Amino acid sequence: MSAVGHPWRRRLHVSAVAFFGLLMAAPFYWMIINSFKSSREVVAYPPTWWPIEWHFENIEAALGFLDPSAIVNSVIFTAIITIAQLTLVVMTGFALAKMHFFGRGPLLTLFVLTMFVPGQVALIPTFILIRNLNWIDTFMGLCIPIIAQTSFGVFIFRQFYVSMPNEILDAAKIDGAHWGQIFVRIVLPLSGPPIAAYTAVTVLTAWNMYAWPLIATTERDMRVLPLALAGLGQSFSQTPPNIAMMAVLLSTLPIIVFFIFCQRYFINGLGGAIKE
Amino acid sequence: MSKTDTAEPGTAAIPRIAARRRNNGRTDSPFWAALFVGPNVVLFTLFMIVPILWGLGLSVFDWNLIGEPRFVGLQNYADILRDARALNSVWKTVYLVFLGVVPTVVLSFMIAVLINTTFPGYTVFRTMYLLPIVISLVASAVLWRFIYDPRVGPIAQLLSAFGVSGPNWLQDTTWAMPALSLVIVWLRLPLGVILYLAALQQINPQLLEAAEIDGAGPWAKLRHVIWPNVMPVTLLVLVLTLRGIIFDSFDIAFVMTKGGPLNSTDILAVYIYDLAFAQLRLGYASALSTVLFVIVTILALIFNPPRRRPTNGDPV
Repeated sequence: MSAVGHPWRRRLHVSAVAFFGLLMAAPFYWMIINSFKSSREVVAYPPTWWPIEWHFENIEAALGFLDPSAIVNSVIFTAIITIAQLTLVVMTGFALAKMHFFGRGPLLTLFVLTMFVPGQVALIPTFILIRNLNWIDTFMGLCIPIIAQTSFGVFIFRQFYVSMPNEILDAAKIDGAHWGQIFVRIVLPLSGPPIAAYTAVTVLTAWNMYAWPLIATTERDMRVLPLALAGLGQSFSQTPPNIAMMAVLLSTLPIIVFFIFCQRYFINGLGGAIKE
Repeated sequence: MSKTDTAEPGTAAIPRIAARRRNNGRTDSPFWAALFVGPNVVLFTLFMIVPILWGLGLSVFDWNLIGEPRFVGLQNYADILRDARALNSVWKTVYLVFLGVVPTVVLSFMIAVLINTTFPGYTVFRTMYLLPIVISLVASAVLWRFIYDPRVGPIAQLLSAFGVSGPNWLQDTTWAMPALSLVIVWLRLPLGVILYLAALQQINPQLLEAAEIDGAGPWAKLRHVIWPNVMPVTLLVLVLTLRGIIFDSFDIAFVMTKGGPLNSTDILAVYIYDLAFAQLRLGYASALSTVLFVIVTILALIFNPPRRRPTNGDPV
């Protein structure tokens, strides 16, 4: 809190920051060291806090359990959802903020109201719908219902565009630009920060999604990563814990790297939600 | 909009402005609005609105996915009151929400105050606090099952160093739910910390200086200056955490305990899944989903009564 004060108080503060930070990160530490232990060491009592030997061959074994198709599926699933949903929410958010059209108010209310309807309410009918469309075990069935969850994004972008000065758009309109040109040439270039933030959050959500893929897929080669992982969690007797930990590490690693590089956007994006 | 119309009209632009005014009175060309909003509205209607209404409708039917749906009126809702497992899962859901929401709010505030500073190497530590935001619910469930292991897990090991023999966390009817909520708190803390950090950085430093001049110690500043100033964010964190726990708890509970032991973590989301996709009692499951919806709404109103305007620009 206070940057000034006695040196020892400062030191205490820094130590507290470090201590609790390490505590928050401790589960990650446990995951990493155990993913490199041998199958014997990982279940040895008492547990070791540092691997005696580093077993890099666990990587290969874990990839075998995760199976490559789950990784590929997760990448496709995440990419489709992020791109499609982003496109929809940016355009809708902009229109709700700046265009005048019939039904604008009720439409906005509809998006806001559905934001707090728990997924479970729509889950069963969505499943029936997908099943009747014969979309079970297809990417259509996996992605479309998730893409349609736009209420949160629409609201975020609508708020962003409401605070965008009209003067910028008016100037373009005076020059005879239509909405399409205004949107592509003026609005999008100014939308970098919220787009980055929303992309970051959506990638994270999609990559980690479990409940819907669990319901919408039955075949092994349509699985996404969390489904493959969940199988490992059920019993450590079938999968040795070191391999399970390595699988968790491998599936989380891309997103950790992504986060470390995009941390700024997360923090600005999420924190920016309360500024204004 | 009208301000600029008169502010700097170049003479040549005047006719165009007049033309635009006519065109701009109440509505824009429906073509562009339809293009911008249409695709989303179609998808949203088909895959959100229709399923929500369908779910509500389904709750007054009896249907097993194969036969003809049979209209049963409010029978499903009456059955809930006689179903011990349903009542238990309602209670477990509320219990998990309280076990999760309160510590998340308190701890994220405290952490944000703690790390609202800077020193060499600070960003490394800040990353540590925010890291749980990246890990999926399923991955963390697998990880924490191992951490909770009563024999080789680090928690058991640390406790035994103090001569305490801990319970078998996930197999103990008393401890399973707090164990799940610890995972959820750990996962939800980063978002709270980020929001509180942003709020703390907006507090006018002069306020704190003034408090200091008036002789306020660190605690008094925290209590009388900082806490009241971040109140809107507290409400935001409360509701976002509530929403997160209701939406996410399925993954955690389903992977870590499957509702057990002895239904001690059998939250509504798990029971609904079981009813709908294992027992194929779709009507009854829909009725319970509706109950869940009502509970979320009530809890959201308890945590965030609509007495003030929503915080600036925020969804809640």
